[in-house]
Amino acid sequence: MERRGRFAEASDSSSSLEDLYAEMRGPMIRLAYLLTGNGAVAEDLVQDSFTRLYERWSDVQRPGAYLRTSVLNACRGYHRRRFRERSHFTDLVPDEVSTETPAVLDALARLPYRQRAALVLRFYEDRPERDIADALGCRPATVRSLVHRGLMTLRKAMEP
Amino acid sequence: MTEDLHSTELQLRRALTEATQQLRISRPAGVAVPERPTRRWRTRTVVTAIAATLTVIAVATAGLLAARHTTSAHRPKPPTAPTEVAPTKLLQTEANLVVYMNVDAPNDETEAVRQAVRASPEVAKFAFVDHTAAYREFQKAFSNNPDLVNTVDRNALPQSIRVIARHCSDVPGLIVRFQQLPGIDDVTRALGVSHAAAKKLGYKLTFPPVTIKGTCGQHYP
Repeated sequence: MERRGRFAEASDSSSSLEDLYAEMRGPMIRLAYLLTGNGAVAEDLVQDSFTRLYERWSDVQRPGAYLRTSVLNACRGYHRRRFRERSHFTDLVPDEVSTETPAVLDALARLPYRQRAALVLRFYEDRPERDIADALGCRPATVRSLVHRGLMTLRKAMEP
Repeated sequence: MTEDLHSTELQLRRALTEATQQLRISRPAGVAVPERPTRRWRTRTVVTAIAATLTVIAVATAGLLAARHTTSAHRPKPPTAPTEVAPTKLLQTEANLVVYMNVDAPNDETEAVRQAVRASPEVAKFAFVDHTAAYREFQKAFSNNPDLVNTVDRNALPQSIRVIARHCSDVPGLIVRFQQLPGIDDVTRALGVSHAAAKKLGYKLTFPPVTIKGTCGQHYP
């Protein structure tokens, strides 16, 4: 049986947006931080996601799941923009990987976005495969392969 | 091989947890997080709380005694009819929702919508913005751009009704109900409007959703 996620279900039983905000803002910022590597950007993206959720509050069935997907999409959008910026302004935008970051996080930052998101959701948030599949819009089998390929790349990157 | 992957997984788990532990998250803007109270402050709070409780008990007893002498007809009734105010007293940014009429909606349709809003017990306060008031606000907003103001006809700006609900939970129901009335162009949440407008102008509004509660229910019980 699959383990339940660290933040499973609780977020979907929140009765109001205020409760959800109080409960989920921190965890979502930490998730976005792991996916973008930048705390300030993470806070901005999460704030935007809450604003979007507020506008659709009455239509959303599972606010917690909606919020997580929204944050993941926002992070993907951020990566896309950064990639485009970097391809044009290679000298102006420095790489944010610092020498003090553990090697495994450096390697994580270089993975394709979907692999990175799958690894973070699996090993940081402890989400079950089905939830990750929902959040990333793919099948559970794809999640398994994303996680496996991601781990293989990390292992290779950390070989001496 | 599997063992290798397992050790990579463990390293990753540890690194992810450590990375988030080092992250410092700022307090959300607009949300008051109380400081940890000092001992003196706590003592003062306890004394104040006791005094407040005694006062409440005294007032309640006096109220009960007084109530025996008054008939139920004299008791104040909870407000049911919404109050209408001038558009200058209820700005678009303060409203919970805005009802936009069609630009060419006839007067009787506009009047019917106005009556429907006035007859809604969920509405605490509303303001009717006619063509003249809308044009005046538009002039003011673009006072530094007279060319733009001159190109717009007064009657091209739609009339609207700004609404503050008694409770936030009433807002979705009101939106659905008003949308079905004839002559309506759109009914929308005010904050959505300002977001959309700001986005068109190239600005980004950020405010935490937690502050929204204060704009309905609380001020207009």
